[in-house]
Order: sequence, then C-alpha cells, then structure tokens
Amino acid sequence: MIARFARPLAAAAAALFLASLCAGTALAAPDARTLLKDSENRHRTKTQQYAGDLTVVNKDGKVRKKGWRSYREGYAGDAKNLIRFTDPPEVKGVGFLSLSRPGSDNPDQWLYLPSMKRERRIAPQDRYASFVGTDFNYEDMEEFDHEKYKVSLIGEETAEGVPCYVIAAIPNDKGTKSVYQKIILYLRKDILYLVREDLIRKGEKEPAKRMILSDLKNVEGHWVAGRMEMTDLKKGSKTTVNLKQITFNRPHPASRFTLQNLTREGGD
Amino acid sequence: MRFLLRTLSLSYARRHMGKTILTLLGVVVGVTTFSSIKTAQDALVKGIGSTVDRVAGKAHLQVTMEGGVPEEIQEKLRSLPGIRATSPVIEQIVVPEKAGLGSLMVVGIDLLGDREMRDYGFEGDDADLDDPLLFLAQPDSAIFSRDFARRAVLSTGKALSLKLPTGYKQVTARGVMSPKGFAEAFGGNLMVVDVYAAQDLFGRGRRFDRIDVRLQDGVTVAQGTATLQKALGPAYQVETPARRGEQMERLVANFTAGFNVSSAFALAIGIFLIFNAFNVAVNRRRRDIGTLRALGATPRQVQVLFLAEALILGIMGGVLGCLAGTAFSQGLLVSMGQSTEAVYGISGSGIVHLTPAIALQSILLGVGASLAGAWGPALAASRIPPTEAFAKGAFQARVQRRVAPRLAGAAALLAAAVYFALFSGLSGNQMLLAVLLLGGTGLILLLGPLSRALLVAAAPLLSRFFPSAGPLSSDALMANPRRSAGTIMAMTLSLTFVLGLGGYLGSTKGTIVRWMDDVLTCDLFVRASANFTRGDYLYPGALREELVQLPGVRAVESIRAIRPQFSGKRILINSVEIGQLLDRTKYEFAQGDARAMREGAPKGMCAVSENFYRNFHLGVGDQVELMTPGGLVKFPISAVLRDYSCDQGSILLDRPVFLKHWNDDRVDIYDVSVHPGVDPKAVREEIRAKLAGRYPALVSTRAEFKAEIGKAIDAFYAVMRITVFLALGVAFLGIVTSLLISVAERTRDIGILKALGAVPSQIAKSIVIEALVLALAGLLLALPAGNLFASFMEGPVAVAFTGWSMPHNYPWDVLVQLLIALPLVSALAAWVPARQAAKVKVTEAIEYE
Repeated sequence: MIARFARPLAAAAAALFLASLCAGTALAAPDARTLLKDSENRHRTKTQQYAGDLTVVNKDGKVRKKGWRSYREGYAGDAKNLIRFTDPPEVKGVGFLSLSRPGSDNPDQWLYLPSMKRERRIAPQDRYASFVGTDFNYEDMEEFDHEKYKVSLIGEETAEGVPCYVIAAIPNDKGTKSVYQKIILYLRKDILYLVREDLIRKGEKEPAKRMILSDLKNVEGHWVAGRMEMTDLKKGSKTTVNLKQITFNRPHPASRFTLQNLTREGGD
Repeated sequence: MRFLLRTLSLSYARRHMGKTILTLLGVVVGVTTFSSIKTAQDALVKGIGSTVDRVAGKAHLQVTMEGGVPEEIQEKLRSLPGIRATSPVIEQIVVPEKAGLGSLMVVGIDLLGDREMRDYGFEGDDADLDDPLLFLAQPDSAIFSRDFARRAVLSTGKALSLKLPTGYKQVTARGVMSPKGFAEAFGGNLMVVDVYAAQDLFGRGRRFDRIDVRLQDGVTVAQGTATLQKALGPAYQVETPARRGEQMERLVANFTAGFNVSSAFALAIGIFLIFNAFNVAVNRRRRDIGTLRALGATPRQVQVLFLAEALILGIMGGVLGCLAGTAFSQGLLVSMGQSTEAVYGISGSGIVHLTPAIALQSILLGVGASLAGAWGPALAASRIPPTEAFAKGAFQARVQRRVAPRLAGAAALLAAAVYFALFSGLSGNQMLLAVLLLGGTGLILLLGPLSRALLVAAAPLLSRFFPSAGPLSSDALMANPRRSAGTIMAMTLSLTFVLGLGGYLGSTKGTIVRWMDDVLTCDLFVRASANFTRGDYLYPGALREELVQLPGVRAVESIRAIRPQFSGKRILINSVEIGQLLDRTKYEFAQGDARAMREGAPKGMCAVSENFYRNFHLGVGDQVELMTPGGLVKFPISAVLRDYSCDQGSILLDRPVFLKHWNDDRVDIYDVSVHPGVDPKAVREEIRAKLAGRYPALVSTRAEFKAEIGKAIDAFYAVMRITVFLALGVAFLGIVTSLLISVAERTRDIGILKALGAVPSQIAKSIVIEALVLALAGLLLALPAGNLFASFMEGPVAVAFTGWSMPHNYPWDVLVQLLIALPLVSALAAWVPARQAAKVKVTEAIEYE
C-alpha cells in the first residue's frame, strides 16, 4: 500500500512543468507509458515519512485500529520502506521492512515481532497473504514499478469526481508471481496523480479490490493523498489509512533500512 | 420351522426367561469385548492416520529429519524448481489444566503463508483471525477448533491454561475454526499457534518438526521427491503424508496386536457359555424332542430347530454386544491413546465411531459363536431316539466316552501349536493366530476328559470333608458331566488367560525393573519432557558444564535420543558419554563385554540391544549403516547388550561420535551422580535453582524416576489388565449360569431331598460346594495351561513382535490372588442359585418337570 502509493504520494515536484507538458501534448493521443513516466518524474521524491492511522472495518462493521510510522527512501524499483507499528501497545514495535532488489521480480520483505525478538522473511509464496489482517496483501506493500507491466491507455473517465486517464497494467511475464492479472489505474489528468486502482486477480474478470486515494493536498510542494482506502469488493471489508505529519526529502540515517535496525529494540 | 420356533422355542424361552437371558448374555459379553476392542483399535489407528492427513492439508510431501529440520532449510526448499509453497510445522500434544477436556494437539504453523497449505475455516465470515497482527505479535496467541472452544467455554480474548514442559502456561484464544478439514484433526481437539511461538514453547530451538511442501501443478510426487531428496541429501526424509501416517500406524501395531488375543479369549469363553446353555436346553427339552421325533420330525429338522434358535440368539446378542461395545470403546480408546502417547509419543483422535464393517463383523461373530456353541448340543438333540427321550435320566446318564481319539487329537494339535510357536518362521500375527487356534482347540479337546476325571477324583474327597452336602454336590456335578465340563472349560480358559497374561505382564515388568536397577544407577535425572519417548523440550549441550560445577555433583552424563527409521522399523539411537556410563552400570551382555564396548566407543563403534540383534540379525563383527546429516555412516558393533529402552531395537553411541556425525548437541536427559554422602535431594534443589526461569526442569531422584517409568509400563498394559478383569467377569458369569441351570435341573431332586429331611442350609451348602469345585477344577487345569500361555507370550510372541525374550517366572502373585479371590467369587456366584435351591417348596418341586 504505502509503497504502491508512495509514488503518487510523493507528489509532483515539477507540477507546473508537467502541466505545461501535458498542455503541449494535448492534441496528440497520450501514451500510457509516457503518462506513467511523467507521473513518476513529477511525483518522485528522495524520501518520505508519515504517521498513519489504520482502520480495518469488516463486513459486519467490526472495527480494528492501529497506528504506525512509515519511512521510505528511493522510488519505485529502488525503493526501501520501513513501517513500525506504534499503537495499540500489544503490537507496538512490530516492524515491516521491504527492500527492492534491482533486477528482481520481488523485493525482499521481513516482518519483525518484538515479543519473539526475531524477524521473519516473507516468502514470494506469501505475497497474496493479507498484510497483518488488512485488506492489503504483501504484494500491495511493494513499490509499483510500471516497467514490470505492459501498460496501455484504455480510455478517459471521471473517477472520484475528476477527469482521469484509465490505464491497464498487465504483469510482463506470464510466469510472474504477481497475485494480479490486471490492474486498472486511474490517473488524474491535471496533475497525473493516481486516484484509484482496480485490482483484478488471476483467473478473474471483475476487480477483487479497489483502492481510492483522496483528500489530496500539497505538502512541501508535493501532492499527496491524505487518505487511502482499500476495499475488498468480495469480502466487503475496508481498510483506511489516514496520513499525518507527512514530510518529504528529509535524509534518513544510513542504517534505517537494515535488518539490524528492524530487529533493534526501540528501533525506528 | 416358523411354527416350531413359535410354539416350542418361544414357549421354552418364556418359561425359562432367566436362562435365556443368561445365554444371551454369554453372546453379548463375547461380542461386547470384541466390538469395544475392535472399535477402539480402529479409531486409534484411523485417528492417527486421519490426523496426519488432515494436518497435512494440501501438502504433497513432508520433509523431516531426526532431531528436527533446521530453519534455514525452508529457504533452500523455496528456491527449488517445482515447489509451489513450503510451510514449517511443529506438533505437540499437551494437556489443558482444566480436567475433562482431553489431550490437545498443538499445531505450530506459519500463518503468514500457511493458507496455501491448509484451510482454516475461520469463524465469522471474516475469512481471517479476529486480529492477525495481534495473533502474530503476542506469543500466547492461539486458535481453537469450535468444538473444543465450546467445551472449554472459550471465546476470543479468553485464556486457557495448559500444562507445558515449562510449567503451566496460559494461552489466549484469538480465533475459532469451523469444524471442517484441518480443524477436525485429532478429533477436533486442536489448537493452532504460531510456529515460532511453538519453537519457544516447546524448546525446539531454531528447528521445525517438519516442513510441508506443496508442489506446483504438473509436478508429480515422484519428481518432487527426487528434487527434494537430491537437494537435501540422505539425512532428510521426504515422504508423502499418507506414508508417514502408515508408519505411525505400524508403530502402534505391536501395541494393538495384544488386544487381538483378548478378543479371541473373550469370544472363546462366550462360546462355552452358549454351549452350556444349549446343552442344558437340549437336556430339558428332550421330551419335546421325543414328541417331535415321534410325530415324524427328522433328526435334521431337530438340529435345524436348535441352530435356528442359536441364530436368533446370535443376532440379538451380536446387535446388543455391538451397541454395548461401542459404549465401552470410548473409555477404552482414551486408555489406549494414553498408552500410545506415553510409549510412542503419538496419539490419534479421541472420538470413536461404530463403522458398518465392525457392526457386521460383531453380528457375524455373535452368530458364529452361537452356532459354534449350539452345534454340538443341536447335533446331540437330533440323535436322541424317541424312546430314550421319554425315559427320564437315560440321556443324563449317557456320556460319550470316546476319550482316546480325543486325547490323541488334542496331543496332535498341541504339538502343532508348539511347532508353530517355535519353529515355523511365520510372521507375528500369523504365528499368534495359528498357535492360539491350534493350541486352543487342543486344550478344549483335552479339558473335557480331564475335567471329568477331576470330578470323579474329587467325589470321595467331597464325601469325606462334607459328609452331607459333599455327596449332593458330587452327584449334581456328575449328573450332567457335559454341563460341568463346559463350565470348567470356560473357567479354565478364563483362568488360563488371566494366569498367562498376568504372568507375561509380571515377567515383563520384573525384567524391566531388574534392568532399571542395573542401568539407572545415577542419583538424579534432569529432563525437560514428561514424555519419555517424545522430547518435548531439549536442553542445550552446554548446560552440562554448569551442572558439573554445582556443589555435590560428581558426574553428569548427557543423554540424547533420536528415533530414526532403520530397515522399516523405528529404532532408538541413544548417545551418552559411554565411559562414564559403564563406570556406574551393570549391563548384561549377550555378545562382547564392557571392555570391548568401552574401547570401541571412542573409535566410533556402537553397542546394540539384544532385540536389535534379533530383529536385524546384526551382532558383534557386523556394521550398522546409519543415515546421518552428512550421509551414510557405518558403525561397527562392539557389543550386544540387554536393553529395554525400545521395543524395536536400540543402538548406543558415544556422545562425541554422535556430535560428530549428527551435529546436534541438544540433550534430552542429564544423568547426575552425586558425591558419596551428599543428599541427592539437596543437589536437586541446587539444580532447580540453577535452571529456574531458564529451562523447564523435571528433576527426579532415582526412585522417583523408576516409579515414573513403572507408571508408563503400567499405562502400556492398562488395557490388557482391563481384559483380565473381563475374563474373570466372564468366568463368574459362567459359574452363575451353570449353577442356576443345575438348581433348575435338580428342582425335583432337591424337593425329594427336602421331603426326606434335608434342611435348606444343607442344600445351599451343596450348591456353594458345587461352585467351589467348578472353580477349583478350572484353576487346577489352568495352572499348567496358564504357565504354557505365559511362556508363549514371553517367548515366541515377545520375540516376534519386539525381539525381546523375557525370562519366564511363574506368576505366583497372580496365583495367590486367584486362590484368595476365586473361593469368594465362587461363593458369590453361588449365592443366588443357593438361595433359590434353599427356597424350593417340596410340593411344587415334586410336580416340577
């Protein structure tokens, strides 16, 4: 999630530049790859951190709440992410580390459980599994890298009240370990910011999950969604993350994205 | 035939309801014994297989290694081609503190990715745990099957106290599983925890019990096995779950085989009860038979009439016995499960189900036993000439005296039984069946003439010691020698079983106790697992140095036991500091000696147990090829010693040799010897203080440790003991039946005696004496037979199933118990018939026909 949305969340550093670029190319049919590259260039930041409030509501209306802090360094294919749960006390200190590996299909991911004082590697086979009981799975926690997908512009639509480019992204190789067969991206036309994703699992035709990014605001010159909502359309459950205390491009300590830090008592 | 059944048979049954019920009871008892044992046996074996199957889920293969699979192997497996998913598993049986919930199977799995392997069926349509992050973050998290949660009154967030190696520990319910598939394993007494929490809870270190592997579509099991075996090497076992289940089932086969003997005896005794009842029925109904014959009934029709009665009784008895057996089988299964758990470290589910197959077998057995019991009397009935049938007393006086061919047949059958027991080379079950069949039939043939001879010999003694009641008893016994012989046969069979099995149990325990006295000579035993076979928790090897440093401690030996497969059997490999061990023990050697063992140990030689030598034909001068993590290693045998630590055979290795080849320094038990004059209990406190808060510590003194092993042995034989009591019960029933029939038969005689001046106490006394004579005659005949049976169990049977040969000791203790119990039981059995006889009214009795 965090990762998938890190890119749009990273906001557009060159918003004005891109806006003019878009205006200049308005007469030509936009190319999906170009749009995604443009979006990436526009919203790329070196680092990002925020505090998140996580709320999971199941179909019966039962609510579970958690708090975490999230740190990111790099972007897309070279991103490193660290999440540390802060609340409630029973889960405080639980950490999640995701490190992209250049040239690899999947990043390395670990979950750290302080009560057992040990990290557990998330195997590629577990990418479909729910990320700690949310509606995100471990694949959703990876940085979205459009280079690993065949992308095509399939239309333009108004989504979440704004005009959007609709782009279909299909994993490159048939043998890929992606949980999804196809992802439909809704890219807001004016700022090329992702506002919605429909996720279609392998062997299915209809989206199994939908993510909506809303409450867009400009923080330190970068567009960022203040709210992310993933809905499991089949189960009827919903996970919402509200982002607070968002900062960009603050340098991280060199050791932040390491296993040693993940497993350190009181580590970030 | 229907007319005859309705008019003759039904009318007889109504008039003699008590006797009919007793006859029926004979079938019921026999079938109950069979069906309860069979149902419990089947449930135990199927439970083990089913639990393995259900826990395995979608796993195609399971990877195991003696001592546990190191964690890092999982990463290795994940990277192999053709592997879809891998999942580590730890399994453990625990007992909840709250009584009455039964044993609980704890399965430690990695919930992060285990859904590829197992379907958990979580409650609440959430398709997930109540809070998966909380489940992972809190090591006390557990998920329960709905059935167990209901019985334990557990809901999400509530705690359950468990008895663990580290003491009592509370776990918190964080989810409930629907009762399907996986959640039905172990009869639904299932608890799921995180596999890494299980490592801590059960001291597995950084190892798993096994890794389940799911193959990619299109990859065959053979291909998958080959890939895994090639990547992992020979130290790892790669098996399908089904094969693993079969191995476990085979493991308990020795245990369950013992119950077949009990079933066979119960049925045989039941047949005698039926035989007796039908014999009397023929006798009583000879006038009816004569009338039938006079009216033109053929002998065959008469025979068929009695057999039809037997058939009806058999069906009724079979159905009732089957139902009663199912009711008893649950308790029996619990007892069997406890035994297999204590002895083998494995257990099945806790639920019995009456299968159609067992129901059918039970009814067929009931019918078979009834027909077998009724066949002789029915044949005799068909041969009664009408003239004799109307002449009172003629039939009673007729005794077939074709003794010589009968004795010859008995001798031949017994000789054949001896041959099959000693020289045939048949497999365990085949040999057991052949010897029991031949020996049992031979014994039965022999018992008739012998019991008659005994009764004849007893007559003068009875008259001498009991001048008034004695002759009455003697006459009653001799008046119907068939009935008396039948009762004595039933008694003899029961007591043979009791003496034989009791002798075998006594001999086994005595032998093991003597062995413990020779071998378990250190002062304290420090262990982390209550279970002797399954190491629930293992100590680090370095702990030995800490224990040696404690004040008062003279020496510490580190025992590590693993149980690998060897030539299709699960043997025991024990490792210990052999030099130290030999300094304090007195092993008996079958080959080689202590010096050879001591000298050979550091050179990588091993010692094997006598039953290993017998089972695998490997002794001094041979080599044992064992699979180690590094590959196949040959260990030359330096000695063969008497050792009773494993019923399939054991190997003893020096600890440094084991460490070198297995690279596993964990320890099951530390044997601690203290300095002379030092109180072991004081050292025990030191050890407890040293280990407190770090490791679980069950520290036992020598006497306590031996007593615990004694309890485990008792647990193993607990069910056999139940069958011994059952046999005594059947014997009791036999005497009651026989005496009730005898009293009824002699009603007229008793009336005449009373008319001639006999007082009720004399009549009652004669009935009691009759019971005592029957019981003592049975015991007298059972003495040699029981001794023979005990020798058979201790020798050929024990060797065939375990390789152990127990030295024979006559079961004097059992005999003394019987000599005290039998007169009391006989007198008790005679109480009702004696009262009945004493109450006979002269006028009614003389009219009695």
